[in-house]
Amino acid sequence: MGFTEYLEVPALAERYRKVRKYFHLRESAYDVTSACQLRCDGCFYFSGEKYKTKDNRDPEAWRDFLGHERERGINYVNLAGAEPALVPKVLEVFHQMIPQGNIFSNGLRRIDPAVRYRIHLSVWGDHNGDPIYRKYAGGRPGPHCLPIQLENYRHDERPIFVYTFNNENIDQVDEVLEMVSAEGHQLTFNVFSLPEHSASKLKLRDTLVRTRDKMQEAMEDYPETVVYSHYNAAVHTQEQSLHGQFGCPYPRAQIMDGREGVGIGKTFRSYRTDLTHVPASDCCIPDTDCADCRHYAAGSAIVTSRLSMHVDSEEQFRGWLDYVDTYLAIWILGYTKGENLYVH
Amino acid sequence: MPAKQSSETEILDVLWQSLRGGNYDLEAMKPRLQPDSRFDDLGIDSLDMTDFFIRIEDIYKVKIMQEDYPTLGSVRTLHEYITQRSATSH
Repeated sequence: MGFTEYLEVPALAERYRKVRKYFHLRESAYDVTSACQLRCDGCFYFSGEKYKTKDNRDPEAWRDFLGHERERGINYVNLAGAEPALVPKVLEVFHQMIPQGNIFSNGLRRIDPAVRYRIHLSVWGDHNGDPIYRKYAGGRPGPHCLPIQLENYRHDERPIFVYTFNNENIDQVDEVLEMVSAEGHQLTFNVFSLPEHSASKLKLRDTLVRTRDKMQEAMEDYPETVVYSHYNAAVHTQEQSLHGQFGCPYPRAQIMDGREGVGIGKTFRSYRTDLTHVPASDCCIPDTDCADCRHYAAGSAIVTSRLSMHVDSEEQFRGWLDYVDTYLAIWILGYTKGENLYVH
Repeated sequence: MPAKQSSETEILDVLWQSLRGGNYDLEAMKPRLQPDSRFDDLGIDSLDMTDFFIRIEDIYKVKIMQEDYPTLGSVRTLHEYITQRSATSH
């Protein structure tokens, strides 16, 4: 069987039509502030050189800049920082200029409900783990963020909680799932990836299979809460990184490999807080060690763009369909994930 | 299975069938679908291009290498590519 024959299977054709409506999305990433209340272990913002820029805090400068981004064809924005919630006027301008997007936040300060973006609230562990992994900027143990996040976003449809598995916190997800589920929110998974030149103890060593098993267990026990698929669990817990399995399409990876980019490899930029970007750093989480990259954000582009690597079997194509359906549910406000088509 | 002979007209038809599943103003696009029209100028998204290339692979039984995608900028260059790949495979 080939691709055109897979599309004769009604369930596959329907899912493909559903996800194909979003092929037009063209995104870039924007660090909007270097300020943050926390200094989390393995934080990517404070790795590398990018945080050493001078913040542009003028909302009108951002408005002018975003006009050019729109002309460039950007119709989806990813806002990060350090902590974007600390610059509410800049967020307001972003939403006025480009209505679709996502904000990565620690959730300690609520983002104005008028900013109708998806909000990804980071979760690093349970009541024991979180304060250890997420210290305050001064160095003392940080807060247990989850109760504050749940309080700030009660009855708010924008957020999804993103639990990052690391080498030590696999079982801590149980408490997190119970709390998130009780509040009627949804949760997805990320896998810790090493920053460049780092030997962090959080890197998964001999714990990938256990992580995968925990993901599967969570999907079975909390089907209404967990936004994930069996194929997501498989690809994010392989010994090889996402780049190793599929080849990363972002400009940073393409430049490192000496290749000419296509699609996202041409258009994606990762802007710093002074509105500049460096092509050699243009990827979803700059300063990641590509050989260890298992970021959920990276997978959204890497796996999605590699449709051609998922058509050698119907099983592969089903996996790809589930993956894209999952990623759209994570990133697009109002998008509902369907049933999994890939049987693991 | 041996590769199938291609023509620019046939490839244009495959492109048209592919685009019909996407988010395009097909009435406006149709007159612009010529063998030497640049895919970039037509505003076709990269994932829709992948859809098109995969359909071409299925029909003509040739493999389009991912690293070759940037060089395949029009139906004409794609036709030349398929012809060359087909000749090499014999």
